Amino acid sequence: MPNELLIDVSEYEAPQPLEEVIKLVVNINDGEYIRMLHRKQPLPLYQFLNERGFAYICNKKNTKSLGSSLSQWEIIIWNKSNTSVNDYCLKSFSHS
Amino acid sequence: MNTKGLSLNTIPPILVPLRFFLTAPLFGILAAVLFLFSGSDVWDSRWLPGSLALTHLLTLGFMMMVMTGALYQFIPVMLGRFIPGGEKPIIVIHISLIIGTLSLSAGFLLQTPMFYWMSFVFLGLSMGLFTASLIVLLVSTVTSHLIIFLIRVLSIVLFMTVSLGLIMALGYALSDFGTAFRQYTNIHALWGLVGWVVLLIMAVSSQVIPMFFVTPEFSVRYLKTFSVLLLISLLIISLLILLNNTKPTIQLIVLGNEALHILLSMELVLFSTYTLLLINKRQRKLPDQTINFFLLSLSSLLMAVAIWWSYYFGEHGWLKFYTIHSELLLGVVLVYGLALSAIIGMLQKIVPFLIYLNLQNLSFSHPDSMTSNLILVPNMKQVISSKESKIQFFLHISSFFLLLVSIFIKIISLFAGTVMLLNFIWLTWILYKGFYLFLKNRKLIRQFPEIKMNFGL
Repeated sequence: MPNELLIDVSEYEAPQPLEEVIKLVVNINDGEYIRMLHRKQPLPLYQFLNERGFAYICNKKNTKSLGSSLSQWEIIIWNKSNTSVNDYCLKSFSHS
Repeated sequence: MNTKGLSLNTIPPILVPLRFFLTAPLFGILAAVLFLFSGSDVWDSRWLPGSLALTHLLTLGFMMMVMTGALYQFIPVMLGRFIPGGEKPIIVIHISLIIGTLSLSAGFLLQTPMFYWMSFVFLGLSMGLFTASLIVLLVSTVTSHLIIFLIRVLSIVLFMTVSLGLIMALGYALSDFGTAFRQYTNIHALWGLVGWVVLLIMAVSSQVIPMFFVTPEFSVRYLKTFSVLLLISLLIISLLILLNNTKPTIQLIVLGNEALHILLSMELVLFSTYTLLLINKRQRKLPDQTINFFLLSLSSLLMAVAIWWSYYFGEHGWLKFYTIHSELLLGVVLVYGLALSAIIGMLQKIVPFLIYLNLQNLSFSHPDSMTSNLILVPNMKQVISSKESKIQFFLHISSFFLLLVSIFIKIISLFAGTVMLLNFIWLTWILYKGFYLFLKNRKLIRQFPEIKMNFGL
């Protein structure tokens, strides 16, 4: 089973979420995928991932906090060329 | 997650928004120079050529300029779709807005019909092209995204403000003012200063505040309801202004007008307190100078409502001296306090962010640049430091209060104008310094070998 690298950037101000996840992406090893938690959809990150052969799946998770809506997005990121991780991520996260 | 229909290339070329952001402060400098030359005369009436030129240098030259650039930047990042039309219309919109604003100000100052004609043509071209580009997107984008909804409402408000403005420019050009010219001016000012400015601040705040200050997201339902209520209030008030012109004796119109003004002021108070409460709920209260610009902006909105109310009730009492100046006070509070504070605050965040994002993206195609000893992708604080933002805030808030005081104590106008000039010179300096850093680092990054990504996709 691939190794999960968890990063929660939901309390970071822009552009720290992008900086932190990019550090992980450029240093990712075979057999690893990233689970990123964020308060919004990181559209500029998708461009970066797409250009570099990475795949991603983004799911929205709703939680309600006192008087305000705190939307949490979960973004799973992996290297497409890594077949076993690719199969695992597509199977495990596609319909979540 | 369905990303079908989204372009993943969401970062527009940096010069698209920057050409607007780098032009805007120059209009601020021009406005300050005009104020210095006109002196306290501009405070004698809002109808004076100098006052009108000053207002439009700031509203068109600064506010509209930044708003146009910001929309070209925000829409792709928020929606994953560019404003259609490519780069050519952007250049036309930019240059026409510059020529149109300069000729309108020259028209006011020199009272030459030719300049009014020029402003009519160039502002019409600029705004027409911009609206046309936006309409294509607004009609084709079937999304409930908050920013699209707000931009739809904002477009209606802008259309009303600009159309009335163009009709009046034509009136000046033909020296034919008609009977309702004063009412048109009041409606134009109402839609521009209350409608456009407040909705613009709302749109900017809803995107910038949660993104850069980590507050809870704005309630989509609340902002949608508020923006529609604002639009309806403005429409009815405008109709009442026109009706009041023809039938001033009908009591129902007078009462309706008062009721609508009360509703409108309550909406404005609600919006500013709601946003101030959200800012107070920041997840990590890190010291950040730029938040002060937004706090000043929202406090100015509360101040504007207070001025309006005291004007309304104080016409015959001890506030009489003060109420004579209240129209000017309102203008300064709405333009300089509400709009400019938020816009200058936004520029301090998004210009460094854009520079970072573009250099970061470039460095991935030149990966050896990332292992270089030089820091070629600066973080945001290296583009505009906290100290530089602190100086900006000090100059901005000082010039704002000095301008307010100079309405009553005219002798300090020269001092107020000098601090206002310093405010815009400082903004120009930090933005151009950031742009120079971008150009320098881009050149250095490009010297490293480029790796073409090919994953056989």
